[in-house]
Amino acid sequence: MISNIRELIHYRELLWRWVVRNIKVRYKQSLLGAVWAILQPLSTTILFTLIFSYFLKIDTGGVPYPIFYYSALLPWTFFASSISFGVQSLVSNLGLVTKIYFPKEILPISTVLACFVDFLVAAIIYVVMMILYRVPVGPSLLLLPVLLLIQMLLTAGVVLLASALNVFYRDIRFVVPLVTQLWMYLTPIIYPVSQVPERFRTLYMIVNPMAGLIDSYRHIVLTADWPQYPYLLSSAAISVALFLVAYWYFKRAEPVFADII
Amino acid sequence: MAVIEFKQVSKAYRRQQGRSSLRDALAQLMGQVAGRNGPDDADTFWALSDVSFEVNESETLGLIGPNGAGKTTVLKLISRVAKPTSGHIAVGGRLSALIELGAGFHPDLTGRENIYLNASILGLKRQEIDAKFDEIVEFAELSEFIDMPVKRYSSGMYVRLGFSVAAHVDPDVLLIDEVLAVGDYMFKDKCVQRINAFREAGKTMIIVSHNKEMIQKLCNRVVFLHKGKVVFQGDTREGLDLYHTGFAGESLRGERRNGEATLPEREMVITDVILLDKDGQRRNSFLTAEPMTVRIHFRANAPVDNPVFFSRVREGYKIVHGTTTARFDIAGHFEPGDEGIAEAHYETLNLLNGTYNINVGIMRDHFSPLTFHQIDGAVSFVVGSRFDQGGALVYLPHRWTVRIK
Repeated sequence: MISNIRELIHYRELLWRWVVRNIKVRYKQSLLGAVWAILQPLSTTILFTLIFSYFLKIDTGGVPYPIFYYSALLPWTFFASSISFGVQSLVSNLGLVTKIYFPKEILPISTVLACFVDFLVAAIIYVVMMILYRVPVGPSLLLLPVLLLIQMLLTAGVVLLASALNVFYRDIRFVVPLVTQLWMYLTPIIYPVSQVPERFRTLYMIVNPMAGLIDSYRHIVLTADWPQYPYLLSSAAISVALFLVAYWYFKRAEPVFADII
Repeated sequence: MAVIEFKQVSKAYRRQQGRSSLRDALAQLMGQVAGRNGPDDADTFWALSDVSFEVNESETLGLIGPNGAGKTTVLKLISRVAKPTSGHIAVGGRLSALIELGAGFHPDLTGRENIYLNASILGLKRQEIDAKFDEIVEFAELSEFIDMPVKRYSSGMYVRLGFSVAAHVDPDVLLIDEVLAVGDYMFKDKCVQRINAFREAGKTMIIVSHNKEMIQKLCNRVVFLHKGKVVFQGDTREGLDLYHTGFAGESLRGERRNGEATLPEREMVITDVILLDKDGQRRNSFLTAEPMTVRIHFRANAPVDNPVFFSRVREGYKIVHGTTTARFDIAGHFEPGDEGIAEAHYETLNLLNGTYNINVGIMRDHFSPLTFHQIDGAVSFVVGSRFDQGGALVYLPHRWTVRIK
């Protein structure tokens, strides 16, 4: 594992260039360019606000709907889009994978980093919203980088696994959007954690690492509270473990990629 | 000192490697649960079997063999893109492979952006790319187009760019896989020049090509692969001759060399080829317009009816004259054990100064591609001439007359 990390560091320039490439390509191809990064979480926020404040009332504990949803959709979009772009990252670069030697994890990881850049762009909107809604800020905001790091490890882990599996089983890319969708419903995005029945709550929070993360985000950036540590810690533990297992699996499978594609 | 070491390497592929869908995987799992057999040996394809060779510093090795012999697999294993099933591979020094030109190129990015990307994949750091950037663009002759998106390039431009970047990586070891098949004539020349420059600079190279002139020109030694095994390793000329010998027919026909490959017994086999002068004396040098006889000793190992003998005189690889017994209505029936002689008589050998060699062979019949036995360059001879060469090849008997009308 250490030698793998060392090699990755040796190839850091390539990783950086590949991230830049991903971003450039995405923006050159799309009509809206940078706007797209904002459009996705924003449009979903608008939709949810409409539905869940007028059609189906959800109790957000007094928090205005738009910011309630955006605060959760922002990190969720980072997670979901990383997966959807990342699954195909190996298979769609088969020329590279089968002919040139380089640490292949650069491909899925650069996808995650490129989506993170989108996240940062969309976060600007959130800052604007914070000002508009006069959201309180507190010292707990300092934990934000920690949450981001945990989420990055989780996201990277899932993407590494998904992209490697996709090489062997090509229909994974169809399974993935479905799983992501279901996963979203099992995460406290549309509804707050308080709506989850008491007897399921612990199981719910522990099994789904994104649940703990999203809830912690809300605590920090919405209500200037400290996060609920048991949930955050379990999310962190699962994220780290998942990343390690995924990276290990990826490096084990890597030599075989060239044989299969 | 060996820069590349390839020791007893074998590479196996499972024929159905990589269930392509979950459904298949599930089906296979069910099969295993139900007690049906898992993948067996028939499913395994050995791309390479116990292949060993070495490349020393500053050497250029040629890898030859028919398609599917395993040459690209060897390159993939050396460049660590794939792992061997067994055996040991070692490479000393920075490696660059001209295997996939334009790796990482994205059509929406400009030539400039793609150069940086591609060079980075090939292992160059930012400063190195900055330093070589102008050279790369110039070699590819793309200075006016370098800031255009690559999707607007013609395929020739694309290849030039890809080759240019790969060629400027300045590796210690270079692997070249048939990349010179594309590109126009002038560019191909440039590429060959470049490869020569590498040789002179003392780089170590492995070249895979079907182009025998290229291999002859560039390689010190060759390794001849067939169906994943080393058939021959050694002198370039010998290896090339072996490769181009008797590839008519399904199985490899060639001499037994160093016990590395065993071959099926031929129905007719040439046992000796000698050249004789007009007195029946054995000779290897002749004068222009002298008589010469090509004598082929052969043996039949099976009953054969009316085989066709042929003889082709070559200068180097260029055929100067060819003839077969089919034109002369020569018939014969041979039983196993029969030994015989076939002779081609040249009344006057109208060749000028030079060194020549002869291909001989026995075919089943005039139209069949099936050759019992063929030996390229079976015998060489030298021609000396009283006449002035003047760039000509042959002497045609003639005389001059001059008169006033």
